[in-house]
Amino acid sequence: MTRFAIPASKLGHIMLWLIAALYLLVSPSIYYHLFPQEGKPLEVWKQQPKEKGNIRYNVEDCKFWSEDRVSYEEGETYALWGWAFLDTGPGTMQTDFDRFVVLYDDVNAYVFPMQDYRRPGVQDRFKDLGLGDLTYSGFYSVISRNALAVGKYGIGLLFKHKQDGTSHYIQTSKMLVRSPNHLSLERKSK
Amino acid sequence: MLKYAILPILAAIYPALFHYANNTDLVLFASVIQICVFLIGIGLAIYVLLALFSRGKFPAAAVGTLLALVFFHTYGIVFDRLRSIDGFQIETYSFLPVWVFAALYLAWIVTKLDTKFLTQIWNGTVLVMGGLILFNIIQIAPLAFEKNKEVSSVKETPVSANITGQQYPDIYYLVFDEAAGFEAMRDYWHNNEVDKFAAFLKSNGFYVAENSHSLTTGSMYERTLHLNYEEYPIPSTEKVYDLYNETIGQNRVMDFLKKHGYTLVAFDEMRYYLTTLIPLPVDHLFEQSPDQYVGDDFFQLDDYKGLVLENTVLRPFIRQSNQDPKILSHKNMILYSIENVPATQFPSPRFVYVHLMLPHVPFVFRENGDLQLEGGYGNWQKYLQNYQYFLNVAQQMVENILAEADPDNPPVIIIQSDHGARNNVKDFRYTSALENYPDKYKNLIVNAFYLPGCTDAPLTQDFKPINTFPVVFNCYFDENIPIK
Repeated sequence: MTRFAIPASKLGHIMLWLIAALYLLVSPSIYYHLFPQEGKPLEVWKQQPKEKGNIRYNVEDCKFWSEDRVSYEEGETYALWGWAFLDTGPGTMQTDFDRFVVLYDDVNAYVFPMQDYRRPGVQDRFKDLGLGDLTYSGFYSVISRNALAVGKYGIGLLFKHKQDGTSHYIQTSKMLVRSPNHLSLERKSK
Repeated sequence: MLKYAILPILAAIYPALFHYANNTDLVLFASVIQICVFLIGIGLAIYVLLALFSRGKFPAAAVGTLLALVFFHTYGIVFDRLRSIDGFQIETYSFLPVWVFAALYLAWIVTKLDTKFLTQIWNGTVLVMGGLILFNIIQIAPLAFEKNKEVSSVKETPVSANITGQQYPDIYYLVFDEAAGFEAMRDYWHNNEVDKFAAFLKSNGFYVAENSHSLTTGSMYERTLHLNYEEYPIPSTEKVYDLYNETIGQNRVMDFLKKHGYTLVAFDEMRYYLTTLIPLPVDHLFEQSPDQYVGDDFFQLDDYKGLVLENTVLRPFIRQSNQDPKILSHKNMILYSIENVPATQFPSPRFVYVHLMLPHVPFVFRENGDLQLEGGYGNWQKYLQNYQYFLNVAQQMVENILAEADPDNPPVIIIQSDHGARNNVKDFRYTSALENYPDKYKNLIVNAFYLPGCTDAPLTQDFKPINTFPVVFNCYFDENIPIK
């Protein structure tokens, strides 16, 4: 029986190619963990919160995001955006709450902060509810694709009172699908 | 050594010539020369390096360079393909080093092959590359020759009288998209630069209508309205495209002027964003600057250079550059319009229509016209800077027009905005809308008229822009168009 052997002169070449292949496969993960990057979750929980409260919302789109300019090209960061406000009856003060996007699967729940932006249309549409000023009900959350493993993630919206910590939470009808190179918004299958 | 360098040179420039052959009528020849010199430099650098490594085996260095250049030119194609297959995560920082390593490794391995065999490969590939390049040159030559002839004939066209022999004035209609009326600047932005601009206009004989309002805040509708001096029912957002495209091809203003012997010239950026609109029906249309003004540095990116380099290993550096080609093209167009707005190379009488996306989004200019891309393109906090630049541009245009004007037959000049500053928040990227910006200013426009000899023109402070051309035609052409 002949023994398979690699000549010593070839070993260096093979090692070089193996290192290159390894670098190709693992560098995104190393890069994400070693370097500061936008779109990392604030916290990772073992499970999502229980649904509670009446949150009105629309998760509208997931777009490419770049730090200081409008990005038209897909990179590693995205912005999930739409609008959401809490409806606990007349007198609800939206500004009393911090808002978060929660991405969850069977294993973890990833909490991302929401940034506000103006949605005067939402204020116009819901002004009859008497919920105060809804102008800044628009939100976007910056999410790095690398924060999530490949898979499907439900999207939850969390409102947490700034003073007493009480929270309101809803699972939306949309989900994020993370493939190796893309992050896309889809409707949850029934 | 020199003989064998032919192969790297041919391989380096082939993609540039290929793209030039497909876009001959759009691409500046200077741009082709620049990119070819750049690519030849890269090819020769690799060739010299490999020649040194292989200790003077020039056929080996040439074939190795060919291989390295194939990797150089196909990086983007392979990157995109792997991303679309989506089998594993691929990022620039993970793929680029591996790709460069593979290219150099294989190029080096090639230099180890037998010299006789490499010389045969060199002969064959020079023949193939030479044939491909010759094929492209055959495609390019007639088109480039035609293009050159057209430019010469436009430049040599003599100034002629109009067909009726009457001395109608040249008419300059300068539209600045989204320029807020002066009172909005004073009141909301507390910016008194507009007073200096208004004083400049008045000192040059302009009438400045300070309380003029657009009917809507839609550029397409307003253009339709002004060029047809007719009010249409205000259409829905989707239908406004149809209205525009149906009416602009036969608009009253241009038809009228054409019948009176005018040469119609437009410097129009309206299709900068709205690319599917019908082009303005003019004799000479400039939608992009044919000249390059921004940056004298050799490696200034234009669309063509971007196309050539898009698939090379330089792609990540191009995309991260602050030289956004679309923004540079916009800036070039503004500078070209300032310089060429008198349009004296075209026969008089001429109607020169300028519509610049300024101070409209993208909000990227400083007061002096330098670019400031930081902070985003849609950040309304940067509107004021764009506006200050608009004031400078408008003033320079007026000065250039008046400097070229015939004192015995002075031109008509109209400076207008189609609507005011709308403070619109299209999506989350417009994160910095203006706080407490009054709605009343969204329709307040800039409106100023230089109508020499037209002492009885019905100009009022609250002048309706729909009456712009009726007033001009009634005065200079003895028309009797009703004023609305």
